[in-house]
Amino acid sequence: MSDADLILVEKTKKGDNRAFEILVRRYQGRLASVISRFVSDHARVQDLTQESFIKAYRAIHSFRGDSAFFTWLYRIAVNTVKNHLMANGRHVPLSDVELSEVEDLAPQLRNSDTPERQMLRSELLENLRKAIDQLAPEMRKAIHLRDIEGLSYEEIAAVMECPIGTVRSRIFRGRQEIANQLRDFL
Amino acid sequence: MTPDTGGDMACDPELVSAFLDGELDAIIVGRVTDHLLECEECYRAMTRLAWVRDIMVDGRVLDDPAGLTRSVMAAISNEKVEPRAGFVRRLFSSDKWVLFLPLLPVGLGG
Repeated sequence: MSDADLILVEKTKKGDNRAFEILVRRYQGRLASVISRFVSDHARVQDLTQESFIKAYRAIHSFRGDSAFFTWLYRIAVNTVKNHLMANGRHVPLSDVELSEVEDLAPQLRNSDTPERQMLRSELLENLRKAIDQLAPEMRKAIHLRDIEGLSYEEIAAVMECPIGTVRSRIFRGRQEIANQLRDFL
Repeated sequence: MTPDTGGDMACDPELVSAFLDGELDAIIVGRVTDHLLECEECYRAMTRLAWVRDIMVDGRVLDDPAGLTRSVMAAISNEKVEPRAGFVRRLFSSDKWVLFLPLLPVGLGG
């Protein structure tokens, strides 16, 4: 488990809601992404993401750090989605679904956006592609290895034959430049 | 920077980016986390960098990430949602546990 998560969970248990807010901000995109693989309606994805975090907050004292915080959060989200689908008369065998299997479960749901949302998404992704193309090659490679391939900083350092500090710097500067290029979407 | 707490740590968005990736060294993770809790500027940097990371990883799912965070925190505050302690913790955090004291000798003796 990330030490930072453990620190934030412990602070939340002691009543520091700002600590929980940081956990929300850190994981909400990833959690919404997981939920969107089961639920096509965009507004419902947001509702279920919110509901999952509220349940996590209520149950935070039961989190012992035996698993990663996101794994625990993921289980809560899967149960929340399962309840939602059952309430709507749908059955999806989610109980045994693992994180690695989610990718293949319902990729077709991702294309169910309204035309307006699809257009905005296309525009964003096109601008993202341009922003990535404009990055220095070493930044582009570091970000690709991190965000697309999912490598750790240590693994990236080995692949790129540079110190971990350099990897950290390249990833940060790359993200910063992308954020600047996409500031109209922020 | 000085060790231990994050109160006197200088802003360093590069560390915030590493924080998002769970890649901070154990020796500084406490300071960075404490700093994030106190520094509005670094919190904003985190939201910006998290947004970029999320679209890099998955395209964009959330229209308004900041709005979602606000909604979650508002729900927690407005509905007076509180973390629920476990039974044992609830028992011993109240005065009710003294009611069980007379039973202890029986339990131990049995």
